[in-house]
Amino acid sequence: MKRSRRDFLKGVFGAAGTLTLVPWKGFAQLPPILIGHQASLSGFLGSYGFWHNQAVKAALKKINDAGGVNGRQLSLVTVDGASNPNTSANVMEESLLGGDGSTPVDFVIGSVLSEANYASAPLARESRTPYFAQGVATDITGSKGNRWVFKSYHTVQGAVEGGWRWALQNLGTRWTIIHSELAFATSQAQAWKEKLGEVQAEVVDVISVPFDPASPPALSQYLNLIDTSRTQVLFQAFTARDSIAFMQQASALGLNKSLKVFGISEGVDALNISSPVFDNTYYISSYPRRSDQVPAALQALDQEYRQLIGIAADGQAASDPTKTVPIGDLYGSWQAVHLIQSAIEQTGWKSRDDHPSLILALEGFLYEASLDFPQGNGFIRANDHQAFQSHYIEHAEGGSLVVKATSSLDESFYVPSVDYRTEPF
Amino acid sequence: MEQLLGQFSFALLNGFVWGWILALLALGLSLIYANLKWLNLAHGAFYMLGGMLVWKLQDSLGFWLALPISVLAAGAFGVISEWLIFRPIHDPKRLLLAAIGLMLALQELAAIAFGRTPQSVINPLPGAIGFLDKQFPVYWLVVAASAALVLTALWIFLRRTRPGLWMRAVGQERELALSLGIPVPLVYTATFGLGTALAALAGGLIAPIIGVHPYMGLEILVLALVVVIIGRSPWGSVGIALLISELENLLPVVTQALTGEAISPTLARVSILTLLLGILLVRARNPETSQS
Repeated sequence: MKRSRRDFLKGVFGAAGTLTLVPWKGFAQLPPILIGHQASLSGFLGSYGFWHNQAVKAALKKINDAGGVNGRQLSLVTVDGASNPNTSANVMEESLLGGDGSTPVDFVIGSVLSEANYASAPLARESRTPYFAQGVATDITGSKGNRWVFKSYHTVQGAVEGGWRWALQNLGTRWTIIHSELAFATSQAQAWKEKLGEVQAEVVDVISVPFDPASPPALSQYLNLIDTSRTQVLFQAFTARDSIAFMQQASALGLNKSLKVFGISEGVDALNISSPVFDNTYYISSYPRRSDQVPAALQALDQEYRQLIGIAADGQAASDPTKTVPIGDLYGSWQAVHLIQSAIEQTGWKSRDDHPSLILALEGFLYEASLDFPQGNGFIRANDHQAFQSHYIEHAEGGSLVVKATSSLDESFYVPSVDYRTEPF
Repeated sequence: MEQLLGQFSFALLNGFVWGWILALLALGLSLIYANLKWLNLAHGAFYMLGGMLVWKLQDSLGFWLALPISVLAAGAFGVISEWLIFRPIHDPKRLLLAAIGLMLALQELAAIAFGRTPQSVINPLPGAIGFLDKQFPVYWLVVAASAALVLTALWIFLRRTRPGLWMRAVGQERELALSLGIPVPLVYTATFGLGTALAALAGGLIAPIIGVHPYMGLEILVLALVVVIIGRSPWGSVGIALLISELENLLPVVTQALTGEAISPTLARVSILTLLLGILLVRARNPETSQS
């Protein structure tokens, strides 16, 4: 029987249609694993939240393209916490944990705002949902956290431990600390004050600046209070907006020439530091901004990691060289996704009922440098769920950040203030 | 003693710099309020436009050319928005809503065009003048002097020129001004353009001190509104802006010298504003003083 081309095409499309109508048991039984991202997409941390979200998306794409986790795809639900603790907690409760009637997500990658992490930690416990906080205040894996909260990269205390030896030897021993009254900055002031007291360095003064988004950052009033005759190191802890104002005003007053201006990179991570006001300032960072400053052993991973997220070798966005990527803390979200993946694979996790065994697997979890963990070897301490890692000291020179020193993972250790393992699930 | 004197002198100068900037902004807002009889809640957006345009144009034109161009561009945009958006609206509530809408739209447009991240603006006059144990940046002194100069020129303009007389007349008695043949709609547009240009000038001048970002207009608006409300007139606003700024700078130094503990500048501002609002309320309740 002779068949026309029309009959042939009918046959092909008919078969294809039948195939799509037949339920494919393999997929039907494997719903996606839901990852919630409590991002700070708008508000004063918008430039950080956007890139954390990009990192989470890139991590999910990488895993899904390779076949998913134990045969299941990862699906992302992003909500905007607007850089506000209450909004962040509300959107998490409503849109991620099923408050609005939607299916609750299985895991939550938390906001970069420490206060949002504080407000969300009780929700994580109540809803029995693992929560991977991205703020850096030390209390997140201390008094403010619980057994359901994890930190996939450093907190302030880890950075202080990683950087104090170099700072005291190379910058000076008489410090004035000036900081914003936000949790991440207050945490830095407290940690440095304690550490400097412990090693018998001198804290000349601690100047605290109220964080007021409804007021222009007139920091010169506070800079006027610095005793420049006694201070050698001016440690600063501000958010991006106030960091710019601080650098511009400190530079105009010549403080970056007469004093060693030092800080933790989180405050300037999303900023373009090509302006001369940043010159001769120092930062403790978790990850070098520029590719050529990454240790040789991690260079190949770094290249691939940057390519997947869209970061150029100079730390700017590959798609738009005018936008600076907060690469120093971005990998926290990337690593959180891969910690979830690793723990699911290790425990055979299938549903929310299996969370306790997944948490037990993450308590003390060791990881090695790989594309999943591009920052290098590290581990999650069992007691407080805190990740430990190496650190860098970066110096702003002619518009670029240059690594001056590296500290090992061991140097960032500190005594845990809690042991979540005593908490029942 | 030398350190204390240094801190005191620095606070005095610093208060002038911030005070004059705030005065520029508040005067613009107050002029619009005095003439058009509604509060331009989009005023902060013009301050932001001034700052962002200076940042964007600085590399190609240099700061001193970028500044007047930004002020003129923002002023021209003010003229257009008065003519296009606000003039057709007569209901005061709708005017406020339209102003809020314009503020939000400009913010988001700036965020899309220039990015949300705060940006550094290069100081066009590096260098500082040393006194006692302190350094005071030359540029900051130039900012205070420029702002004072502009406000003096504006005072002369309003007092000694015919358009200035028209502006004052429209502000005081609109109907009478109309009957005298003063082109009231044109005066409205010119006042709005002038007010928004003053806001842009404040934003452009302050950019090398605090940097710029698309939301910077919101952070100054509340303070400017408070100054205008307490100041009660354009030149009253200038006085209040200077007073608040001076006291905010001096109180921490004075309290540190007297008690060993500096009061926070923010607490100083709250105390001053509370005191001023208190005075305003007392005056409002007393018919004799309120009439004066």
